[in-house]
Parts: sequence; C-alpha cells; structure tokens
Amino acid sequence: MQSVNMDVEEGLITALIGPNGAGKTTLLNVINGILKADSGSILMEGEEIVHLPPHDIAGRRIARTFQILRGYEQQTVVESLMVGCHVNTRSGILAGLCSLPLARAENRKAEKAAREALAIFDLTPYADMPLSVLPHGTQRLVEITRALVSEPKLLLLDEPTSGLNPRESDVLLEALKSIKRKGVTTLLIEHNMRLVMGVADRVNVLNFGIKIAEGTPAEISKNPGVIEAYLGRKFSAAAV
Amino acid sequence: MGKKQFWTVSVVTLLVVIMPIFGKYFFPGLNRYILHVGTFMCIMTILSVGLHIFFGICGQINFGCNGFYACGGYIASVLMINLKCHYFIALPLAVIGTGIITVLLGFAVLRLRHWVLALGTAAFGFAAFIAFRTVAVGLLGGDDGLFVSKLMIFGKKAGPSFYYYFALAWTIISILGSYFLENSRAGRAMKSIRADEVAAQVAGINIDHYIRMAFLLNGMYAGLAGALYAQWNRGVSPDSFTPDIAMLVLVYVVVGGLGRLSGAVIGTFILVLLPELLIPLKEYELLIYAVIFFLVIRFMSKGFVGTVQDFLHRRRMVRLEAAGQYSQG
Amino acid sequence: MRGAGFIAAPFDLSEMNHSKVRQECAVKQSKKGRSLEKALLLTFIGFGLGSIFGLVGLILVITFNATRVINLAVGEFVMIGALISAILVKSAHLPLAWSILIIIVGGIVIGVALNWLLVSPLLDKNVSAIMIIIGTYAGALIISGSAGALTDFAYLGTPAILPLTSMKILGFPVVPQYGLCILVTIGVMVAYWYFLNRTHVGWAFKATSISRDMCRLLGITTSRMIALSFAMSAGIGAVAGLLIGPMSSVNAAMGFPVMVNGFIASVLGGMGNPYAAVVGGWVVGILHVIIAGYFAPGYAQLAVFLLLIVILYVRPYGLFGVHED
Repeated sequence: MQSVNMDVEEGLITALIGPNGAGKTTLLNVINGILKADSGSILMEGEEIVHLPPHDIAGRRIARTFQILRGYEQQTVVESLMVGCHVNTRSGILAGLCSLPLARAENRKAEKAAREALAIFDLTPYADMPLSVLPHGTQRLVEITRALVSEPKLLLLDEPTSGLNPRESDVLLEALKSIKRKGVTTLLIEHNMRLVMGVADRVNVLNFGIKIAEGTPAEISKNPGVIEAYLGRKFSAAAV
Repeated sequence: MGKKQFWTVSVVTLLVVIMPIFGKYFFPGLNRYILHVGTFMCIMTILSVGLHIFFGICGQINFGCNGFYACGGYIASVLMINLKCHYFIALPLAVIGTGIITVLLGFAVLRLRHWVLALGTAAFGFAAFIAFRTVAVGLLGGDDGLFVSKLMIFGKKAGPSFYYYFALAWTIISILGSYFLENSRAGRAMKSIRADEVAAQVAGINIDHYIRMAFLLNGMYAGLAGALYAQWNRGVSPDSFTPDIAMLVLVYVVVGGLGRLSGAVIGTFILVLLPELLIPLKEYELLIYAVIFFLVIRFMSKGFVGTVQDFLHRRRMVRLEAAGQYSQG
Repeated sequence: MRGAGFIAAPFDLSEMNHSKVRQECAVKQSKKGRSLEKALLLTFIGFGLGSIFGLVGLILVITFNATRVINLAVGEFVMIGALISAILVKSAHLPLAWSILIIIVGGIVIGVALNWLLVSPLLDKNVSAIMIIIGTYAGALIISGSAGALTDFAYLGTPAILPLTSMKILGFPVVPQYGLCILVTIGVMVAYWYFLNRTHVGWAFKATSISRDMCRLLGITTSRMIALSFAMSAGIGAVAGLLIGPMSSVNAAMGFPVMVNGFIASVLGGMGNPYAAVVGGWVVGILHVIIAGYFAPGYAQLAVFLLLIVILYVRPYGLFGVHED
C-alpha cells in the first residue's frame, strides 16, 4: 500500500473496492494496528491512533471481522458473542479467579447482551451450538454480530461475502441494509458489486496501493479510470 | 454448569472427602497407603490444573513445569530450615517467590510462541533441575537435598490424614479457581487467544497481559504444589523435580483432554493411579505408560474426556434424529 | 515418589571417557605455556562433540522442513545407533563395515516406523503440530523404554574407531575420534547439499519443504518424501550414535540429553537451515567443553541453557534465522 487518503463519514457505509492485491485488506490491517504504518496518520474522532497497539485501537470502539476464522470451532455461538463484550467490560483476572461480584455481574450482563444480539440476524435457534456445525453464511453472520455486540463506532467488514453462495450473499445483503438502518459507521471491503452498489453510500477505489477514485456508487461505475483498473470485469447489476 | 454435572461433581467430592474415614475403619492397613497415593494425586492435580490454565485455556506451551514445582519446594524448605519459618508462613511465601521467578522467566521467554516457547520453557525446567543439583550446595543441599522437620499442629505431629485433607483443600481451591476463571471475561479472553491471537487483539484483548498472567498462574500453581510436597515429603531433593515430571504433567493434561478442566483432573487421576495398579509389572511401567500415551495421541487426540464427550454427543444426536423421524412419520 | 526416571541424567561431560583427556591436560597445565594448548585441545574436542550435536540438529531440521513437526525422538535414533554398535562390536565381533550397515538399516527401520505409525497419520488428520510433537515424545519413550527393557538399561561400552588420546598433527593438538566426528559431519553436510541441489529426488524433496500442497499438484508424492526425510534423519542419526558411542556412556536412556542439545543447536542456528544447525551444534559443543574444562562439568549444560535463553531473547529466530510468516 502506498498512498491512501480517505475519510469515513459517520453513519454512512463507505465501501472500499479494487482489484485483488490492491491493498484493501492491508489498509484494514493498518487501521487495526496489526500492521505498522511507515508514515501517515489515522484519526479516529480527531484522535491519532496509528501508533497504538491493536487492543487499544479496538478499545476506541473499532470492530473488525475477518474472512477466515481459524481455531474457534469449539466455541458456541453465545460464547463467541460474549467475547464481543470484552471492550465494554473490565473485570480482570483476579476477579475472574475468585468469582468476585463484579465478575459475576459482568458475566450476566455479557450473556444477556449476547443472547439479545442473536435477534439482530435471526440467529436465536443457533444460540448454544458450536460454531463448527454452522454453515458458512451463518458463521459470517455470527462474526458480524460479535462485532456489533461491542457497539462499535466504526465497523470494518473484510469481504463478508467471500466463500458464500448466492443465497447466503442475499441474506448478508439484507443484514448490511439492517446495519445501515441502524446508522453504524461502516467501512466495507467487497468484491461483490451488487452488494456494494446496493448498500454503499460512498465508494473508494484502490489500485496498486493508491486511491484512484472516490464518489457515489453511480459516479464510480461510470469512472473511466476505475473501469480500466477492472478491465475485463463486468458491473452487472450496477450499470446505470 | 448443568444440573447433572453439578451432582456428579458433588458426589465425587463427597467420596473423596469421606474416603479416608471409611478406609480407616474398613481397611486400616491399606489406609495409610491410600492416603499417601491420594495426597500425591492432589499435588499432581494442582500441577496439572496450573498447566491447564496456560496450555488448555490460553493455548501456550510450557514444557518446564518441574522448574516452578522445584522452586516452590525449595523456597519453602529453605525458609523453614534457614529462617525458621513456620510451615503455614513458608507456604504462601513459597508461592509468591515462585511467582516472582515466573515473572522474571516470562521476560525472557514469553515473546516466543509454539515450539520455540516449548524449548525455552523446557530449557528452564532442565536448567532448574541441574541448578538445584550443582549450585549453592551449602544452601540447597546438592544431590542429597534438604530435610524438613516434622510439622506440629497443636502439639500433635501432623499425620497422613492431615496432609491428605490439607492437600485436598488446596486442590479444591485450585480447581475452583480455574473453573471460575474459565467462565469469566478473563477466561474468555484467554480462550480467544488460544483460538487466534490476531483476532483476539483486534477484539480488544491485550494478549501480552493475559499470556503473562496465565504464565504467572501456571507458575504459582506449581509453586503451591511444590510447597505442599516439601512438607509432606519431609524434604526436597533434585530427584523429585526431574524434567520427567514436566513431561508427565503434560501427559496428564493431554491424555485427559486438552482444553478441558475435567480433562486435566481426570487425566491426572487415571495416570497417577495406573502405576500403583501396575506394581507387579514394574520394569515395564515406563513402557506401558508410553504406549498408553502413544495410543491416546494417535487415536484419541481429544483425550479421554473429549472422546467420551464426543461419543455421548453423537449418541444424543442419533437419538434426536430418530425421534425426529418418528414425529415426521 | 518418582517420575518416570527417564530424563534424570543431563548430558554430563564428567561421565564421558574423554575426561581422561581433560585430566591429561590438567596435569600438563603446570606450565603457563600449556594453557594455550589446553584451550586449543578443548576447542577441538568441543568441535568434535559439537559435530554430533550438529548432526542431531541437522536431522531435526530435515524432518522439520518436510513436516513442520519437531521430532523429539531424534535422540533415540542416536541411541539406537550407539546401542547396536555396542552390541555388535562387543558381542558379535562383527567387522566395522558390516556394523555400520546394520546400524544404518536399524536406524532407518525405527525412523520409518515412527513416521508410518504416528507422524503421517496425524499429519493427514490435520492434528495440531504441537500434538504431533508431543506424540513424537511418546514415540521416543517407547523406543527408549523398549530398548531399556531389552538391555535392562545397562551401560554398555563401545570401543573407539580411532584413538581417544590426544596427539599432535602439525603441532596442533587433536583427538582422532573427535576428528572423525568433525570429518563425518562435514561429509554429511556436503552429501546433503549435493542431494538437495544436484539430484532429481533431492529437488522434489526440497520442493516438499517449501509447500506440500503445491507439490501434490505437481505430482510429487509428499508421503514418500516425508518417509524419505525420516529415513535420512534416522540413518544419519544412527551414524552419529556410532560415533558418539566411544565418547560417552551408552545406555537406553542416553537419547534425551542428546536430543535436547541437538534441538538447541538447530534453534541457535535458526530452525529450518540444516547447515546453520551444524554451526549451532559447534557453538553448543565448544561451550559445553570449555565450561566443563575450566569450571565444572555440572555447569556445562546450564551454560548452554543460559546461552539459549539469551540468544532467543536477542534473536528469536536464531543466528541465521529469517522470520517466515
């Protein structure tokens, strides 16, 4: 990634698109603090966060989903949602060990929040099932729900439809529309143009690590530079 | 915890508590031996649960538990011998002392992961063993070790029953601590670290903090076990703390079922009991152990508890499906 | 009570036959000019001992590269070699050439068996690497336990191939048996390099270390490559056992300390680089002997561990290691 300059407006869904290898996931990794930026700054509500460690960045209420989740197979849906409450709670190891009242209260609070969050995407029937038995689309919804449970100020979605079949992608599109209605500020990386055109308020286009265009979905679909970058790709439903 | 589990645990705890009283009246000759094995089992369980916190919950590898075990035992012994501390003071001090050593070692090794961490901790365990044999022989007793005088409670000498109940109490506290920890915010954070460190960080979990704390708990649990061992055994010597023990504890946790508290406890129970039952085959004891270990890893990678749970789960699913078919038909 | 009593003895130089050599030095060291000679001699011995550790590190890296699993049973390959050599040469009075053949074949059988029974099935089941590593430890216990049951864990002596007394070549103090170790190790390194870079099978083997999945697509039978890695690893290990036998006490439980030092050697060099593992072995060996020679044998292993911890702190990927993602 070389040079990117962008704003993500509050309450809107901003999409980030671009050919493979353009640096989209890299940008998310830098925002999250997993990768260190050589130069530049990232301002969250006016505060510089580019040098913070990843867990502190998450503490600023930036939540992120991943494409591939390894290792979480044993957890149940509710357990993985309760992890989402981590940034909202503060009981520590000592409280946990001794089962202090604070820890127990926060446990109840986290479980309540987790079970309530199941309703957002109709996941209630799956509450106590282990993640490994769920279909991909449902796992993805659980991931997004986990990010939402922490009541984020900024939601980073990394290719949520990757690996999903068309039916599951439709479900995801409805989920994103629901997020949009709630007014959650979102930065969305996607390859699925139908999704992007259907739900994004603004679109940024990245190519070879440089931002090459920005605008509404309609403007972007007519931008000659963007079409050239995507040479060969068809903007199916998005042709206006 | 479900109702059935609660009752199982309660019954087991009750059995374990009244067993010596029962034994005293019905098998007096055998009772001393049972208490001896029982106390040792308790001490080993504390070691296993400590490793479970670092390895099973937090997903990091420690091949050097014997080092912390030894530290606990030696610190307690030295305090009692040289500073004339009473045992009940030496014990918590030994745990704290081992905790300090754990933190110091943590600075060196906790940046590592996977097998490199395994090697670093194994190196510590091995080095601790050698150090206790060769360093400061005047203070630490070298190969012969240290001897601790008998414990007097209210004017009476502490006997096998006392040690058993004392160790049992600490074991129950240790198990409860781990159970509470697993089901708390901190425990969920550690489990997330085990699953995927990067994802955990991004979810707001300070992985360095939790890994250090899990390591500290592992060390302190082992230190507690060592301090218990020191007085019970009336002394410590390097032979009690060989690197074998670190591997043995690992075997207990893995064979029982990695990642489950019940696995660590049950694994320890089975594998401490086994040599006692195998006494007639003493020359082949190591081999039989190794074969069991090998078979479990090869065929039951989830350990005893994990495999049994899987089996029961599958049976339940089959029954549910059959019932479902019935109602649809 | 006791543990399994398996790892009780660390690699203790005072039990090695070459302590006679050290005693020789101590007597001669009355004159000041002798201290340089002692240092050179000890360094040479360290190179020799380190060559064995380096070989163990090398064989560890061979199987690590192919499987990403640390085979904790490599020490047992060495033990088997030493044990067989002790039995053959002493009891059966076989000529050396036959012994070498039988030793190598014996080692290969054990190595391939370990792979076939444990490592490959678990790799196929996608079990986590650490579980397989623990599994190889179980395998090591079985190998050692069986050998111990057969020999009663007795200490067997092995005659040296070359003399164990110090002599001078061009004014340089050497001990021939250790010189043999160094030469064989260098020979193995060259042979391995040649195998990897100049033979067809070696090229396929190298490719397997880089990416197993890609190799499957290319039609390379990865399972055969993995079996080959274990065969090579065990064969070379058995030869190392033959060499180390005269220098140290041979018994069914000698494998673990050898493995520990070999593991440290490969980590010091940077896990993944077989030649760096040998260099790491030299560092470990020289440190061992210097500390044992100038201080006390008990501190030698301790010093090696301290060195490991320091190096891991400063360079977690080893002296020559590169961070791979």
